[in-house]
Amino acid sequence: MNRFKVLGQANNGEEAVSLFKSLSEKPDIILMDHRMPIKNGIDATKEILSLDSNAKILFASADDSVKGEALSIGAIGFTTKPFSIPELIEDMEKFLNET
Amino acid sequence: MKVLVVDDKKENLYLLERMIKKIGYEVVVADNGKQALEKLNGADFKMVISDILMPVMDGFQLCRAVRSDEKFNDLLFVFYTATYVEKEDKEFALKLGADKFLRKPLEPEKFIRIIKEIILKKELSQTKPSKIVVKEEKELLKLYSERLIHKLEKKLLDLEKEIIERKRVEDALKKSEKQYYEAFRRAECYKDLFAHDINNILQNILIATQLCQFLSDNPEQQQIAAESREKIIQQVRRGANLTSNVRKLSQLEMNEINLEKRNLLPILENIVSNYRKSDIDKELDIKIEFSDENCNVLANEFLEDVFRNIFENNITHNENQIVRIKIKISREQIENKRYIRTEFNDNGIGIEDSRKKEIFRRQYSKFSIGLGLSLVQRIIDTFNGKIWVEDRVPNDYKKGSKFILLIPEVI
Repeated sequence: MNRFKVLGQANNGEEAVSLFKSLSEKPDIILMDHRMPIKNGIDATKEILSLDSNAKILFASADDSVKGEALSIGAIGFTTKPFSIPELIEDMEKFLNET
Repeated sequence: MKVLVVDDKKENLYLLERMIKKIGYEVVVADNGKQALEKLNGADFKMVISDILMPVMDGFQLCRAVRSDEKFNDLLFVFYTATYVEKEDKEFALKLGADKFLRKPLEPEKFIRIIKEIILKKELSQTKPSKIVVKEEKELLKLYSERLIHKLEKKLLDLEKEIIERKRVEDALKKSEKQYYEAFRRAECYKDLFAHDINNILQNILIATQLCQFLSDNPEQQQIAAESREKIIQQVRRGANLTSNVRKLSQLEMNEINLEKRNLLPILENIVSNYRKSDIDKELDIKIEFSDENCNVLANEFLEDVFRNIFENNITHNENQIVRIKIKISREQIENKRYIRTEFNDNGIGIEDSRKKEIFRRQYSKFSIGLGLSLVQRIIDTFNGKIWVEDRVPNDYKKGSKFILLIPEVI
């Protein structure tokens, strides 16, 4: 469980983009929800990937209707809520190793 | 023996021809009065069976022409009509010299029996030929015009009825289309609720439960474990509130709305007192200010849900340990309409300008979770009231929100 270190948290897509810009140490993986105020997950993903095309973004949302779109714009994976902590860790490791 | 059948409808001619041929008469057909006269002039006929409403020359004119010509003295004239069926039509037909006036439709056996009787009667009694009862051209013309005008009026009335009926059917269709659209939209909204909101709640409960398990034997992490337990309770409350709101929304959409006089002050006070007694983890500081105890509005039992959902919103979106809500009740008049204005001032996280309208529209917004404020908007719409949100401190949304509610006042 302690293999991961949380570099930061954002309450919405806009905060996620500015946080990503401000972090000197970039994250190995970004967990992204979709339905958020101000800026949703899809738009935030597009912006982050335009800043750094190597950023690894894993979608974690209850709204799986955006799965196709998320993957097509460059998310490395999509995990549908609800999931357990071990399942999430397993997913993160799997996608990190794959890419 | 020949019978001339006159009708402008091919199917009528066909049926009449078959029936009359069955009893052994020769049948000639014509599809209007003018053609009938031409055929009568070329051969010897025993009988004419004629419709009345026909193009070029109608049945009345044909009968008039036949009865004015002596060479047709022995010719029997029978009207068989579906459109001119009133007593006055029959009277006029007989005045013109018709031997019989029959209304369509008749059973074939009955029709044949009548035709046979007319012919037999003529043969046995050697009755004098039927003559025009009214000889005066002027009077005939007047009677003829009356029948035509009457028919026209009836046609117009029928047309008017048809238009009204069509309009009714069209309206019913539009209404049903609208209901179908509404039902579809509702189904989509409920589907979304289950697919998204319930899964989010389950997610939070699952994670918090697992955190509790992982941390249970770690004495240093007991604070996080306690917070996780609190989170589970919060999420269960959120789920219960969501299902209650779904039930309310469905009631609101299925039932007829009846509004009555309600005093909103005791309703509000009762909710506040229930919140004070509840086990939420935040301290509540709620004040109600009013200048008059009579705050009567035109509403119904859903008013309570409006207040409950606004409180729920005020409390949930507030990160302070002390949640402060100041409620101000006053009167307001807009364009001769009197309202009771209820303001909810909170110290919550606030709402950015771009979201101030969106928070009331669940079906258009894919951002928000829950149904609370969109249900509030729906209820306020049925009360013919208004609701909107402003910054508690103008231009600084982070200082909290001000929900403003206007509901029509009743004296």
